[in-house]
Amino acid sequence: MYFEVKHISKSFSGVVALDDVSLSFEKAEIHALVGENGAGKSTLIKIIGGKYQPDTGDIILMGKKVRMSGPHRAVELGISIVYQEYNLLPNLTVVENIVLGNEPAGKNGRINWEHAKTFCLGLMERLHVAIDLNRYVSDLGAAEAKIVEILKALASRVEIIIMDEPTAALPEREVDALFQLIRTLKKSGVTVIYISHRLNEVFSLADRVSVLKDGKYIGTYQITNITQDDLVRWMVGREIKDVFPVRREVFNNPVVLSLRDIEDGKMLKKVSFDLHRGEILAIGGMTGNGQREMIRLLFGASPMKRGAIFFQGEKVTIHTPFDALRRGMGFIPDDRRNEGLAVTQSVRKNLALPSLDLRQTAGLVHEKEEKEVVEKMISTLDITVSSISTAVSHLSGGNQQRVVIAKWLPLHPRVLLFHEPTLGVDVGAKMGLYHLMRQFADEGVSILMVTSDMIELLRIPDRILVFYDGTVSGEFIRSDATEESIMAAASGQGRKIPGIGTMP
Amino acid sequence: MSAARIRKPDQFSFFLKNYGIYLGLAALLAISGIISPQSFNPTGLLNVAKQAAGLGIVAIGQTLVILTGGIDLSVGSIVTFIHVYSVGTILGKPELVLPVSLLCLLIGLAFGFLNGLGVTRAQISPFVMTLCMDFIVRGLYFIYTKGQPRGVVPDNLRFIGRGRILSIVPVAVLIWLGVAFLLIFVLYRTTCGSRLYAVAANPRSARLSGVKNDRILIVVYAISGLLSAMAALIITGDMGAVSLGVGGDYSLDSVASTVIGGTSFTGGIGGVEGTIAGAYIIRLLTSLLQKINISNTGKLIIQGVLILAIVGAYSKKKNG
Amino acid sequence: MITNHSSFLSRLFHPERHSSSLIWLVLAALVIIVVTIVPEFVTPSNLSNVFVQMVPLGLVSVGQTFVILAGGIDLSVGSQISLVTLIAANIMGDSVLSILFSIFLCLLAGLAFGFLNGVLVHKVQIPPLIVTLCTGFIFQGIAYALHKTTGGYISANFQKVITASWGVLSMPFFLFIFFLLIGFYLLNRTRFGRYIYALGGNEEVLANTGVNTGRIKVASYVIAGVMAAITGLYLAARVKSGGALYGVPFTLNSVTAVVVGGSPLSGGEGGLAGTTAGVVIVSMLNNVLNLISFRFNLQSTFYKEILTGVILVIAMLFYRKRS
Repeated sequence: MYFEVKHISKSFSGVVALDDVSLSFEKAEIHALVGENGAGKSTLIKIIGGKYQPDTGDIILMGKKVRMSGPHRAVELGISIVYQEYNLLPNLTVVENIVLGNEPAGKNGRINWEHAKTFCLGLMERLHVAIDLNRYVSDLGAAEAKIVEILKALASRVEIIIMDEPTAALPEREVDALFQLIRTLKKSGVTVIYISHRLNEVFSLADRVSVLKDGKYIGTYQITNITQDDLVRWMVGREIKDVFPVRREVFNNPVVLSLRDIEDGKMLKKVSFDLHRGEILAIGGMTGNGQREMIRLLFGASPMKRGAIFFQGEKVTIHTPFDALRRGMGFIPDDRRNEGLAVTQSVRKNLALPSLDLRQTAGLVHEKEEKEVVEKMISTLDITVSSISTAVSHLSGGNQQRVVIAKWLPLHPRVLLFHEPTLGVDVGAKMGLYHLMRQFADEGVSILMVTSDMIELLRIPDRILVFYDGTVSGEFIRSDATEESIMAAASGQGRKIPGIGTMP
Repeated sequence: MSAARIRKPDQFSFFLKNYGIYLGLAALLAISGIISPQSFNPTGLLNVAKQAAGLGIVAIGQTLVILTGGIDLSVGSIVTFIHVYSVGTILGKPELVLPVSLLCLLIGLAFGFLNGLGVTRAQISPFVMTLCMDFIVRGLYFIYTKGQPRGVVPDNLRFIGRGRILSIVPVAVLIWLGVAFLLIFVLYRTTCGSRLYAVAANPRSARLSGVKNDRILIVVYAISGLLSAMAALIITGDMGAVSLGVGGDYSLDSVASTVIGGTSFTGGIGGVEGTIAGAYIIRLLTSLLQKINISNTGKLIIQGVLILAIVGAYSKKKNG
Repeated sequence: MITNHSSFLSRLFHPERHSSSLIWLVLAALVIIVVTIVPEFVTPSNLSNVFVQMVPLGLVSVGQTFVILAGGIDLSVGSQISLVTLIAANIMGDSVLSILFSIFLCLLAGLAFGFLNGVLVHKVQIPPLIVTLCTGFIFQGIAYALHKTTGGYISANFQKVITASWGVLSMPFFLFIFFLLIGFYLLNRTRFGRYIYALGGNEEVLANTGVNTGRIKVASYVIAGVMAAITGLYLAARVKSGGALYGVPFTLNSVTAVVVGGSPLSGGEGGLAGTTAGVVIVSMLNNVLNLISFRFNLQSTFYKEILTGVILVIAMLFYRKRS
C-alpha cells in the first residue's frame, strides 16, 4: 500500500470529529472522499496535512510510519493540499503566491523572477487558464483565486495532492480544465485525493471512492461497481424523508418580518421576502451567495446600504445587534466558539448576558432572580451541565448550542435567526435541536435559518428560499422541493448540477 | 453520542492559579523579614501599604483596561501631569484643594475618555493610542511647568496622602481599599460589570448579545484616567513636594501589579482583587531593592522578567 | 486597495511593493510649507544638521520596518540603543583591534537582544508588544547598571571615522544609504523578503507552504536588534560617550517613521521606500519645531513629545480610512 492512515481518532472539546478511521490510497489513483457536512473529511485532511495532530492513530507512507509534526513536514513528503478555505496572501501578487516557499534561486540569494514567471506560465498552460501574474491577489475574484490556489499546490514537488471542494467556486470551463489536469497528474504518478459533494464529478473522475459518515469510516469502493444511489445511501445512512410535516397553515399567519429590496452594497442584491409568525423559513444555496450576509444583516452584525425592513408592520432600522435584540430578535451564529459564546465564562454568565436589563434595579443585578432564570432555562432546554458556574468550554457541542439558544429565551423573542443550527453538533444531538426549533415555531416564534446542509434543508423548514449571486433565485414549499430543483436554483439559471447530500 | 471528557485541572495548578499571588506575597514577606528584620512589623508593613496606595489605585484602572485586552501606557504621564498641575494651581492655599482636586479628577477622566475614543471610534490599537497620549500629556506637563514645577502642598492635601486615622491606619490606604471594594462590587454585582467581563471574555460574542462594546471600553479607559488622577492627588499629598519624575514608573508598575495579580490579557480572566496584592508586592519589592541598593536597575529587570514569566506561563498553559 | 490608486509616482518610487505613493506627496507638500514659513530651514548648515539628526533614526527604522512588515513591533529598540552605547563606552580602547572588537561585541549584543525578543514572541507566544515592552525595561535596567557618571570612553579615532565628512558627503550618509540598500535588497529581491511580507499578510498561509515561519519571525527581530546596535554605535561615536537614556526617543520615533511611511502595524504592506520618507518627515518636523521654538524662545523638547504623539495618531487615522 502506498499511503495509509490507520485508526485515526480526533475530537475537539467534547465533539468527536473522527472515530477510528483507517483509509488506504494507491499510487497514481484518483481517490474520492465523500460524506455529509460534519462527516470528518476536512478534519482528516488537516491531520494528513500536519495542521492537526490526531489523538490516536498513525500515518504511513510507503510502509514507513511518519509523524506529521507540522505543515512543513507534509510539504517535505510531497503532500500538497488545496484547502477549501481561502489560503492565499492578498498582499502579494499572483506569481509571488504561486511560488511561495519554492522561489527559484538566482544569483546572490536573489529570486529569479523570470524563471518563476516562466514556470507559472507553464503551469497555467497545462491547466488551460490565464491570469495576469503581476496582479495582486486581493484584486482577484473567487474563481481566479481558487485557480491560483491550485497552481500554488502544484508548484512544489507533489506526490500526493488533496483537493477539498476545488470546484465549489469554479465556472464550468475551468472545471473541465481542472479534470484534465487531474488526469494528467495521475498519469505522471501522482495520487489525487478528491473531496467533493458533487457525486457526478466523483463518478466521472475517481477510480475509487471512500465514504465517511459521522466521523466513522463506512467503506471504500471501486467506482465501477457502485451506483450513485448506493453512495447516497452510505453517506446519509438513512432515507431522506420528512421529520416534521409541512404546516401550510402558517402561511396564513400575519407577517412578522418583511424585507424589501435589501442591498448591502457588496453581496446582496434586491433581496425581498416575508417571514410569517410561527413559520420555519430556511435559506439554502451554495456557500458564498449572500446567505451569510443576509442573516447577519438582519441582526445588525453587518451593514445595510439600501432597502427596508418591516418588523410587525413597522419600518425599522437595525444598525447594531442591540437594535435587533430590542425588537425581539435572537441570533444563533455559525461560529459558536468565536461569536456565540464566551467559552472561558460560565454557563450562567453566558446565559444571562442578553437579558441582563430585565433583572436589575439601577444597574444592580438581582442575583437570586438571575440564578432562577438560568436554572429554568437549563431545565427547559435540557442542557446537561454539572453546575451553572461550569465554564462553557467544558460542554459538548450540542449543549453549547443549546446555551446559545437559551440565552435569548428570557427576552421572549419574536424571531430567532439560526445560522447553521447544527454545525459541529453530534448526530444524536441534531434531532433534539430540530425538535426544539419546531417547538418554538409551534409556540409562535418565527424562525429563519441559513443552512448549507441539504438534508437539513429538505427535512426541517416549512418553506425554502434559495440564494444565488446575492439574491433569491428560488422559493419552494418544502413538500414541493426536490434536491434537483433546489440545486438548479442554487446554481443560477441554466447550469444544473445534479449533486446530492449537502451542497458545497 | 460521545460524552464530553472534561480534563480536570490538577489540584496543584488549580491552587497555584487561584492562590499563587498569596503564596508569592507570603514568600516575599518572608524574604523581607530576613533582609530587614527591623522593619518587619505591623508598622513597617503598613508603611509599605501607604506607599502602595497610589500605585494600587492606578493599577485598579489598569486592571480594567487589561481585562478588556488593552493596555494603558498613559497612566504614568497622567499621574505626573495631575501632580504638577494640582500643586501649581493650589499654590499652598488650603481652600483651593477641593475645587482643584475635582477639576483634576475631571481632567484625568478627559484624558482617559480620549484614549477610549481613540481605541473605539478611531480603532487605533490601545497601546499606540495610549503611548501617543503618554507623549502628548508629557509634552503638556513640560509646557505647563516650563521644566521647573513649583508650588506648595497645603496640609489638607497632605492629609489624604500622609494622614492616619487614630494615628495608625493611613488615610491613603483606606481610600485605596475603598476604591478597590467599590470596583469589585461593580464588577461582580452590576449589569455594567457583567457586560465588562462579557466584552473581556469575547468581544464578538458580547456584541452579538446586544452589548454596546464601545461604550464599555470608553468607560473603562475613562475610569483608568480618573483613577490615575485620584492616585496623583494621593501621591502629591504623600510627597508634600513637587517633582517631574513622580509618575515615570507608574505605567510599568501598574501593568506589573495587574499581571502579577493574575489578570490576563485575554479571555476576561482576573480582577481587581488580585491586583491589590499585586500592587503591594511591587512596593514591597521596591523597598527591598532600595535596601540592598539596586533599586533602579533591579526593579526594571525584575519587573520585566516577572511579567514575561507570568504572561509566558499563561500562554503556554493555554496552548499546551 | 491601495494598489488600485497606484500612480506614476508610486511606480517611480516603489518598483515592486505597493506602499502608499501619497507619502511622497505629503513630503513634498510639507517641504513647500516649511520652506515658506521657516526659510532658515534651507540654509546649508541647517540641512546638514537635519541630516545628522536623521541618520540614527533612519538606521533604527530600517530594522523596525522588518519587524512591522512581518506583523510584529519592537518597543525595545530605544533601550537596546542606550545599552549598546554603554557597552561600547565601557569596553572600547584606542587600538584598532580594540575598536574592532568593541564593534563586533556590540553587534553581537544587538543580535542577542533581537534573538531574545524573537524567541519569546515565537516560542513562548507572548504578544510582541508585551515581550518588547518588558525586554525594553530589562535592557533599560541593565543600561542603568552600566551607566557611569563619566559616560565611559569612546576612542577619538572611532569618532573620526564614523563622523568623517567630505563636503556634502559624509560617513553617516554612506552608512544610512548602505544599510538602506541592504535592507531594500533583502526585502525586494530575496526569498527572505518575500517571507517577511507573507508572514505579515497571513502567517498560516505561509506555514501551509512548509516555510518555517518561526525562523523568519526571529530573524526580523534579530535584524531590528542589529540595526539598533549599529544605531547605538553611531550615536556613541557622535556624542563620544555612552548614556542610559540616549536611545529613549528612538522607540516611538522609529514606529512613527515606519507607520507614517505607509507600513501599517497589521503588517504585510509597505516597505523601506515609505519608511525613508517617514524618517525624513519625522526628522524634518522635529528640526522645524526647533527652529520655530528658537524664534519664539520656547523650549522645543517640550513640544516634540506632543508632536510625535499627534503625528502617530494622525497617521493611524489616515491609513485606517484608506484600507
